[in-house]
Amino acid sequence: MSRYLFSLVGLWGILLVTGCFHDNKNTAPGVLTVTLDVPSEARAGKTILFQLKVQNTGQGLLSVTLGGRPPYDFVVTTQDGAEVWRWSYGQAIQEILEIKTLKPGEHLVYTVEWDQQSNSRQPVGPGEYMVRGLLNVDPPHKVETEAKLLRILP
Amino acid sequence: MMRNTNTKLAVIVALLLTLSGCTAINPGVNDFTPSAARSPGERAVDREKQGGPPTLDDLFARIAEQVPGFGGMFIDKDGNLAVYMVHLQPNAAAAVQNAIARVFGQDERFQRPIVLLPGKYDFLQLKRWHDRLMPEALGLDGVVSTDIDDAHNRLRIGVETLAVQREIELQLDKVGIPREAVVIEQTEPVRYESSLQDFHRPLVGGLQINFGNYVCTLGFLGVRQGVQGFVTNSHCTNTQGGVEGTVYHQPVASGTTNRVGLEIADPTYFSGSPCPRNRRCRYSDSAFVQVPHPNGPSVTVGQGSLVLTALGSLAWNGTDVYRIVGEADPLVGETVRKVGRTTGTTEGIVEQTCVNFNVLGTRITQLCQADGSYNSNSGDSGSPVLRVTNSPQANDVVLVGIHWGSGGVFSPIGTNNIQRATELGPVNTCADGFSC
Repeated sequence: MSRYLFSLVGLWGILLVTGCFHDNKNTAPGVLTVTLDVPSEARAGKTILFQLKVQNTGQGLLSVTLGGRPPYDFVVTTQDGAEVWRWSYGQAIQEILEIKTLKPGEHLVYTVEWDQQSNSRQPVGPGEYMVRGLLNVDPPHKVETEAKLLRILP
Repeated sequence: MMRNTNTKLAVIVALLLTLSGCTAINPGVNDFTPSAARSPGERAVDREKQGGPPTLDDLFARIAEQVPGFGGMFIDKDGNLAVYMVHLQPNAAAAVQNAIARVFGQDERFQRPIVLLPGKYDFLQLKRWHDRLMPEALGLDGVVSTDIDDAHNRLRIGVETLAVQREIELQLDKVGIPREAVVIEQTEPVRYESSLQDFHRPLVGGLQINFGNYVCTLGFLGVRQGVQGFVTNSHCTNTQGGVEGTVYHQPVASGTTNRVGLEIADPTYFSGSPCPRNRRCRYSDSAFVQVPHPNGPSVTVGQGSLVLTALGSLAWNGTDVYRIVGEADPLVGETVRKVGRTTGTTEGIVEQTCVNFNVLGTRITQLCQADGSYNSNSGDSGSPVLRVTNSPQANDVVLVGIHWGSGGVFSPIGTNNIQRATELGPVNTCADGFSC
């Protein structure tokens, strides 16, 4: 996974360094920024909102390939990395590719609800969990956010 | 392999820079003199004046001008710099090292131990011969390549068949090159490597198609209600379910040049039994596209043909195809393949049949679908799913369905799914001479 991220970051780096990711009218580059919004804690049994924000934080147009419909995913793991819940677990995703152009500052927001159930539909219980957001881009690449800590309180 | 990789890398970098407008094309400089009477090294300088960089052969020629008897060099299997010398003189290694530094600068590739090998031909001599021979030899049918073989201190000519050898030998005589200075060997002809994502005609199943800002895969050609066209996914239309006249291009839109088809059938999703409450259902993720587009160029089609690539490969020579000779719904345990624009040809086992799938992030339920273990990824939507039978001929297949979902989910081809009366109805998908 990190290999793909590094590949993407590397390519992005090249494009930024060369100033090559732009339209003909605007020489400034587009910059893809993917951020995750997760509450730091929640009561056990409550539905929790996860939000992935995909934004062009650069000064020029950004063309980004979105892989799949929907192109995003969320994963909850234990502190030691064991997967507890994945939004797409056991689900079918339509395997289409979309080429999306974002203007400077333009963003997409993807929100899902987690009912604190595991992949096997069991309540996960109180504890500390890590949440990550994933954006599928040009296959097989994915952009993965930093993991954020989520405390489930009794 | 290395040449292939380097070439691809160079093409990608050049493409990135060119697309970005980062490169400027330097107009040619025309104040050079005719080069016929010049040495290879001098001609390298001429080539630079014309705006082109010197080739590696040109640079080796410059070394040979400084070190008489230099016959070329290469990295041997032990990592040494192996240098051919016609005359093995005591100071040869130092002379070569100095000349390399003058020509290549501090290039790390050459900063390694030198091993001197007895050579028969001076590199300048080889280069003169090659420059003389190349236009004549490559003009002969069946000649694939000409080269100064740095690892063998010879010229090397690649030929498709040795039938052309006698003609080459006559050319060698004509330009005064000793036969023993040339290796003639049989080699595969070089072809441009194209992929499922490139322009191809006739249309066949498995190629990339584009509509709007989206990319999918062409499933299979077919004739429906007397109309020639192809089948792809319903979700590979402007709106999943219902006909909106989606316009398709292969491989991507370029004005109307690559326009290939128009969506004409895509049944709407229904609710009510047997569809689960609050859901909308269909028995297949399929739509039918008329070919050619009424306002587009004429398009040739390969009825009954699906792209045939190596397993796991996107590369396609543009000619190898599977031939559809029948249709059959999948059975658990059967081996099937899918051919898509993203992951190419992949193979797996049918694991489930007649499974109802909710589509993630939608209220759509696909009824009675099949699930296989083959690999796929985004962009493979619409891929044909097939079973190789090799009967009655090699590469004959039975069409099994159309891929649409992650995890190897596909809609079966039969009358319970794609060809159900409320779906697309009968579609003739077979090659000429077969009925299905």
